[in-house]
Amino acid sequence: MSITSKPITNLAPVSVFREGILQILDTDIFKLGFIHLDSGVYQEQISSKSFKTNKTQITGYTEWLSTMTPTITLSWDWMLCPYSRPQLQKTGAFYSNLRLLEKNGKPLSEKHTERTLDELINRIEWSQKVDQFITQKYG
Amino acid sequence: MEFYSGTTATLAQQSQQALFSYRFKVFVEHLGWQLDTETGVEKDQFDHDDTLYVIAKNEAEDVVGCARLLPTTLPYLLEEVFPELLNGQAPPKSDDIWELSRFTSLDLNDCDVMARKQFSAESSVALLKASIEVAKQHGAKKMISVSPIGVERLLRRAGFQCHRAGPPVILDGYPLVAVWIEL
Repeated sequence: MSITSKPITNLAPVSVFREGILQILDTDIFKLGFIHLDSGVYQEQISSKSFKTNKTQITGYTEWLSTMTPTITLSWDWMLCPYSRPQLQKTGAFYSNLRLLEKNGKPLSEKHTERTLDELINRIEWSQKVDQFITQKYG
Repeated sequence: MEFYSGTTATLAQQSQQALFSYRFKVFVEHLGWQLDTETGVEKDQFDHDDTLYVIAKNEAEDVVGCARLLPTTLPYLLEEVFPELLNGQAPPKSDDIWELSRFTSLDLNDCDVMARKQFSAESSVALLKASIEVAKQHGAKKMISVSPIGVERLLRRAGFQCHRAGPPVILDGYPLVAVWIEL
């Protein structure tokens, strides 16, 4: 499921910061291929007192890996929103071993990192791919 | 919920028996982990005289949560069994880095929570904080944990800074990951 078809050029090396944290320039992250490893469903019961009914909200996780080594791991949670398109929407922050850097070598802010990774995962059309995977996995 | 901590030398015999029986019920029976262990008792090679435990009990003195703590200067789970989770990095070996494992806050008496697998949110956070506090009291400045991703999410929810050591492996259908925890 790699999205990269062109040879990667002008890619600064991924360096190890500490404790397994991998550093890469923010612009270079878009040159990497990412493949889907696994996704699954959590289930939570929420009660809606006003309607006196229990609704089950479908939430889950998804795991992706870079196709280059050392391997970057990227994970996030999602929620099923039946009336949205796409139906699976990301919730919360990313879980990763990644640290994005600006060209001057300084780490990106948390906010900027989040925005960059949001753009990355949207480019790889994660929602549709995970939707298909989940549908197959759980029948 | 009350928390107790100690090694096999300091914990009451009854508490130890209850702990290993609880671990069997949670990890083997309820979660279906394929562990090489005798029936009714969940113990492995990392349960020994120097292992530190944190046990959570309810008012009826039932075990409703537990955690296992090991200094990385001794053989530990990540190093010996799951080194691939370190993405090629050497396993840490330091007096001030401790491993958290066998973490759960499943109340076996609570039918509602039983549907939620390994954790109930509030008690999980309390147990996590208690476990980390115990590790700190024994000199830990950082921790590492081999855990299902639920623990990773829990750590973040509890306000801890954490990051992955490397990609997960899928074990028995669930992702398992090594997570660094800043204390």
